[in-house]
Amino acid sequence: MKAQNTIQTIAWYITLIIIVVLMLAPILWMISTSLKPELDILSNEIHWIPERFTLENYQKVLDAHPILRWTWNSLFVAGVATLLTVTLDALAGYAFARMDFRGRDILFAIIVSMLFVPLQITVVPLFLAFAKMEITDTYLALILPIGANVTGVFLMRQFFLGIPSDLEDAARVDGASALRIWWSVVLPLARPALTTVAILTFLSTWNSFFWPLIATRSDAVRTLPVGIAQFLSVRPGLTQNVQAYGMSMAGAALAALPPIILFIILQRNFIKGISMTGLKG
Amino acid sequence: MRRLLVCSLLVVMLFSVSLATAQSTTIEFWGGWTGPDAETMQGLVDEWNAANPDLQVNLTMQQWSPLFDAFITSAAAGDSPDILAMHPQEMAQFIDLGLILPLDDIIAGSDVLKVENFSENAWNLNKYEGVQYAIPLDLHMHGIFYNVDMFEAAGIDTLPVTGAEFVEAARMLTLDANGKHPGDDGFDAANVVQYGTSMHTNHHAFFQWWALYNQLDGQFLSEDGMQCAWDLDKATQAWQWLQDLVYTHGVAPQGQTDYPADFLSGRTAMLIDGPWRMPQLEQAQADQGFNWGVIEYPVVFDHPAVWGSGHNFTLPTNADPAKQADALRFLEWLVSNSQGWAVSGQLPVFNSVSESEAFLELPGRSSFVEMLPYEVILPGIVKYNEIFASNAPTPMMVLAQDIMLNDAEVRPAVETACNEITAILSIP
Amino acid sequence: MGRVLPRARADTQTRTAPRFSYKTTAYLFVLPYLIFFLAFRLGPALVGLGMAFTNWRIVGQPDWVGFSNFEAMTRDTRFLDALRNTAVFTVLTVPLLIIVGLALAIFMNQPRRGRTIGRVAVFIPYVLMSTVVGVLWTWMLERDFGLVNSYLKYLGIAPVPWLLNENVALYGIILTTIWWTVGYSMVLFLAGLQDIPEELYEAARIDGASPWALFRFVTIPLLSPTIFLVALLSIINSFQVFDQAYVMTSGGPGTSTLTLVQYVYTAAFQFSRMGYGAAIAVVLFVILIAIALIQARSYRRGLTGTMQ
Repeated sequence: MKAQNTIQTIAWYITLIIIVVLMLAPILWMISTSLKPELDILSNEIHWIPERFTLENYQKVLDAHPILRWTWNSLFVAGVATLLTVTLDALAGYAFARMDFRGRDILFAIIVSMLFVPLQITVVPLFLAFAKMEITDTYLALILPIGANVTGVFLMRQFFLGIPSDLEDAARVDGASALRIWWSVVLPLARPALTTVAILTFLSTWNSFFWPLIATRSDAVRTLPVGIAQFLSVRPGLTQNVQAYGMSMAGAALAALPPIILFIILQRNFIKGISMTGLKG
Repeated sequence: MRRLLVCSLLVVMLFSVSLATAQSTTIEFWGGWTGPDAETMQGLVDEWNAANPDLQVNLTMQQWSPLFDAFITSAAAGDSPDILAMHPQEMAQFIDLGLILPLDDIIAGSDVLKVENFSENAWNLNKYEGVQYAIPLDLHMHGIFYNVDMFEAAGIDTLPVTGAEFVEAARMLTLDANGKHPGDDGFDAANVVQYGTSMHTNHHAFFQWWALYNQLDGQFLSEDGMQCAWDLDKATQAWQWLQDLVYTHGVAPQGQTDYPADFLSGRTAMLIDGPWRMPQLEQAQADQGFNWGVIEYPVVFDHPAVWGSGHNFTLPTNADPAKQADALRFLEWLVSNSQGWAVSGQLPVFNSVSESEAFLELPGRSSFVEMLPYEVILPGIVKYNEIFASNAPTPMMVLAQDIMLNDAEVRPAVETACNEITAILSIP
Repeated sequence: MGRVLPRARADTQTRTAPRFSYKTTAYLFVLPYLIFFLAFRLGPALVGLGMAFTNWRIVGQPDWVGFSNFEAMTRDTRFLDALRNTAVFTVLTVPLLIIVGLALAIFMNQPRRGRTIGRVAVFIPYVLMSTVVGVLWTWMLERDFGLVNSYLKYLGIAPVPWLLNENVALYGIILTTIWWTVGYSMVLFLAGLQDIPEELYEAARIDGASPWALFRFVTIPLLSPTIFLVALLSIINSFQVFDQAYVMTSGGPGTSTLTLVQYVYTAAFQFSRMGYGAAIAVVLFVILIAIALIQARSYRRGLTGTMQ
């Protein structure tokens, strides 16, 4: 029995190592490539540790592109959009879960149905409206549409449906207003859900590509994903033709490291938060 | 929580204040350059801005395709840059949408922006149905870069001019691990260490086809512009020559993607590419003593023709009319000072620049200049994008990849593409 | 018990009786979000829906053309290619995300030291942005020097021309997508697994159930809400796949990786045929809603089945 256990344990750890290696290999390879001189990159031999080590790719990519600016833009937009979304969604989600008002269910159904509408269809009307307001190519143009995000409201409502209402009832007996109850009773209870919505919103804003591609033109507001996409093409719209892999990988690594580090530091909250999307009803 | 909210509000307010900066006259100039070209153009704009505090130019650059997306959406909202750069073959779609201005009246008073000062060919490429819509900046076309040391090693002392000479040179330059050439007894096609030439698998493949098809005097569209009018024999013949380099003669790698890297690392002895590649080659020459030269695109069929295009400047319809004169003033300066642009490898078309010693002394330029009279550009038609765009599954892109990547039988593929083009042209 | 989809939660609906009757308060709570929703989501989407029945080219006035955009689609081989590619992508990606995600979750749910490292490693790719993933995997799948083919060569397998061949390019993108997003489904499954009471397994073990029987008759039925959720989310995402395909292949070689959403983008923006692009988006919307409804229905049927 014991021997069998040991064998199982060893098998488990071997499998674990294989999984970890497979998942991390592309990222490590990206870093390895980014540290090689261009001539060593296209090699028939696999060298995980660069034979000749260089930071030249990073220097070139930082010289050629305002990556730090793009990163700051991404951080700022994602940060503000997250605050906005969490506030809006916590308010609306609470009302949808706990309050009775005319048209509630049909309204909620309409909101959820928007999950199935490809964003691309909304882009042109949105752009035209923003152009009329003269806010294209500004942070506002990137932030405002995030406030209309559907998943957050959905998750908040699910969460509020699942928690007992005793505390709220008690507060109401004490004569507290709805806003007061929401602020001092409900929100403290809702921290896990708020974290989840915050993480999901931050990630999806940080990663969003299509709208910023259309809505931004200048490096002053351009976000990281849009900037990174430019490495792909050095001559007119090359398809399937990455040039200068070393530089591309250096740029990709610079873009990848902040979220990876953030994730590793916060991984417990992250994973707990993400698993909340499967909220109990 | 409350503190966070306050902070975010403050940040939003601060940034809206920072948006409202003070203005002198500023004109908006959009272009799709990336990489070294972008740096060169930015450098020229900076030079202007430093010398002209009263008229500042704000240059916005991103890749051509998203740039045009942004241009169309902005124009729909009634807002356009003052100057938009593009390529001559792309003008028709914008003219059709009414987004760029006819220039004849606007530039009538200019001493600089007139045909006498430019290469006539370049100037006329920027007409659409007889009307001038753009000011040319440069031209570029395919040429053949070759590795001088490899040519010497292979004993090639006459540079190839015809298609047959090109294939033979490429054959002599293709080596397997035992030093044998394709066609030799015991040639090991699975272990080729050096190929004669590069061969495109992307849109440059159909650029090359267009050159060869023109060498046969092929026609693209019917007279009314509503149908694909390819001569199927000629169209097939032209594609076949390209496909054979890879699949029959075995002198070019199959499915190549990183053409310049392969050339610089010695995997191919020739590189079919444009003059924009020269700064990189000059750099390699300086760094590693990489020894290169330029040959004109081969004359495979009846007479010379080489694919080309160029950059130009248009004035969008929705721009502020009050700034038009300023935009012209800047453009006059830019085209007449395009020697700075020539370092990017592009061939300036402003006579006093292109005829200057300083320009002609730059390495490799003269071979490209020789080819100028034979340059053919893709048909500048309203549906250019739907037929030719390189980052969408257009008929030409699909055809090129089918032939060059999949080794598809040429004639049926050509027929299918031609039918698709006719179908696209029939959509109102 | 029910999770997530409103229809699946009939039981909780009755439990949460409305707490407030003052309607104005409720509207005040909903209003801020509603303004954003109307202005930036529903409004533009409705305008988009309207555009589907016009020949609008972004610039100029749109003309009403009835259903002719939809008729044109039936004759458009590009559209049919895009529809087929998207369907193939979804049919392959969704089951893989469920099977691999579930397998990883069961594996990582074992109470052993080191599992956190495993979970973190599997989840890390999910935090990367699509363009980084696209650039990275274009390099990984490079035919001559890419890491994947280099190792295949070691194993004596001929190099696969991943993104260069129209028969395999879509698989290259599927592989990329699985690597990128499997961590997300694993985490959802982990949460589901942790909700299954240990007693159920113990009781079944006492009855002499084999590990397979435990999996088949305890894990799977109790996990079905999570499976349903993962399936739904991945179907929605797969049908709207765009970024990675756009970055890695732009739909090529040929039309082999052209997806519906890329075609919406291509038609609307690159070809200035906004009306046609909008019509394709409407078709996509109808397909997704239909799938969601069918799925919700079969899920409810399945749920009542296991309950009885």
